[in-house]
Amino acid sequence: MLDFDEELKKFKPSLELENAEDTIRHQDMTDIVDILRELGTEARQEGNGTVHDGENKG
Amino acid sequence: MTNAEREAGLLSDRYYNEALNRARIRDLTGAAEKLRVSLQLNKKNVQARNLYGLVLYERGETVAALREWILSQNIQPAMNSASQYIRSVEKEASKLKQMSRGISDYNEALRNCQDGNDDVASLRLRRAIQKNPRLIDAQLLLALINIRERRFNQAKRLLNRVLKTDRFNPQAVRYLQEIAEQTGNPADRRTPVEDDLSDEARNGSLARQRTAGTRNIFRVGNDFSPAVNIIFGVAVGLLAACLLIVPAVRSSAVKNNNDRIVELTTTIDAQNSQIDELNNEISTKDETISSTSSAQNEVQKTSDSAEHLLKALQASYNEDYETALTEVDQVDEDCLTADEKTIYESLSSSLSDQAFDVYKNLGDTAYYQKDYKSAASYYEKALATGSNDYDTLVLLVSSYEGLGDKQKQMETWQKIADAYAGTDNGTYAQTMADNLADELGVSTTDTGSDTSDSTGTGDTTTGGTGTTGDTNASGTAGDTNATGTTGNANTSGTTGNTNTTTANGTNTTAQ
Repeated sequence: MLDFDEELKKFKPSLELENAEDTIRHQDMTDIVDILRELGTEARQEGNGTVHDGENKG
Repeated sequence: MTNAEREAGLLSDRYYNEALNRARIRDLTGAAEKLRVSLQLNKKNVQARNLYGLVLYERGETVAALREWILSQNIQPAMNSASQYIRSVEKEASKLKQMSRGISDYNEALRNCQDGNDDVASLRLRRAIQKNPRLIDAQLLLALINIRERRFNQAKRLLNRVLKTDRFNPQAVRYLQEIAEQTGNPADRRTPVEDDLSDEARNGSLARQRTAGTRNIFRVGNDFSPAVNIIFGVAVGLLAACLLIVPAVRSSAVKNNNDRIVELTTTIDAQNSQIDELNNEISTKDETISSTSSAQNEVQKTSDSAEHLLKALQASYNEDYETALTEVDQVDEDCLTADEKTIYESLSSSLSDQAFDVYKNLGDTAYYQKDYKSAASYYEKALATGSNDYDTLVLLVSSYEGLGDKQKQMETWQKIADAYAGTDNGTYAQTMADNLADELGVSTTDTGSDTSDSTGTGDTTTGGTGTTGDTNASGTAGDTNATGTTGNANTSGTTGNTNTTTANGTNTTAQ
């Protein structure tokens, strides 16, 4: 049996011409490659931090 | 490029290929899902983004499609099909504007639905689909409302339309199943795809039966004798019946018929005398009939008005708004009952909101088919609703130009000049009206709008040399007006490369 309210939740508004500029300007263009790069950068920074700490303690 | 980037790129291409296969068999929902993943893996996959735009365009989400193509163009400005797609959409700017209005109506209808106003949502969705016939979400939502209101036939029609565009749309399939369950008719469950497949199956099984039948006829052997015996016995029985039984039956039938004829002749005589009596009665009642004929005319008028009202309601439900408006115009309000008047007023009010859009759309269709006479007629009806819409007025001028009617062109330019006095459009229109007046050797009424060249009409005055003016009247003006909203698409040009025209006809290059 179809639940009208549940089905209604599946419908989302469509992009209008008036909002096109904002949407394009603020479009999130992050992809997997960007995420991997960011993770790689964070890992390198953490790695450098650990070495320095070790040197200081030594 | 690192290994991870290379892997992501390859995976993105793989998803793109899968999406392409799905798009080829019109599985737009499936294709869209694959393309979203492809772009999440590699945002620079221009082919995937262009295809995504096409899929969105096919689903009626025109603005979202434009967004994807503009982003694609930004990523790869040269040798990119996206530029061609954007150009072809901008060329039909009035259509873009109309489809965008359809999308706005859909969004508004969705809000109405969420607030519980299904009736208003239903009307808005019909309007949305009229303006943007491809918009799948609007058709699905209206189908959902129709299912809730138990208008299963209308829902089915919408869902089948959706499935013609998006062959395996899961929502449409599910809603059709729901209709089948509620009506208890399994045929309602069938989708156009299933109908195609079952036709093939049926034809295949018929062919198999024919072949089997052919084989049976030619099979001989032990089965032969019993069949012949049966046939022989039947033949003998028939012969006996023909020779012995039938003649006896026939002679008694003849006797019966004779008796019957005598009886009927007596009856006919009696009925003839009755007919004479009735004829006398009829002649005395002629006077009564003539006196009631005027009363009948009144009743007929009432009946006609009610019939027109009913036809208008039916046409409105079937989204045939032109017929609905025509029928409503023929209703004589004085002949309606109180209840009928309430319905008439409600229907008139709802149709009048749409009259302008309906006539404008019909006018646009006729105009693009170069049927200028029909186009002019529809635009006049649209403007008769009380609107002074600039686009419509300019298209009306262009229609008169197509018909070669300079008098009407001049009058319409003058109307625009009066309505938009004090604006650039009004000034331009006044110049055009004056030029045509000079050509025709008549005078126009100048409303005193600013015609000084210093306000920038110098250029348009140059346009009054005839050729350029005409071009402005039929080409640029119409286009610029129609691309008024391309002023908005101007904003889409902020990504760098899109040239658009504004309502005043100046070309702007985005920064």
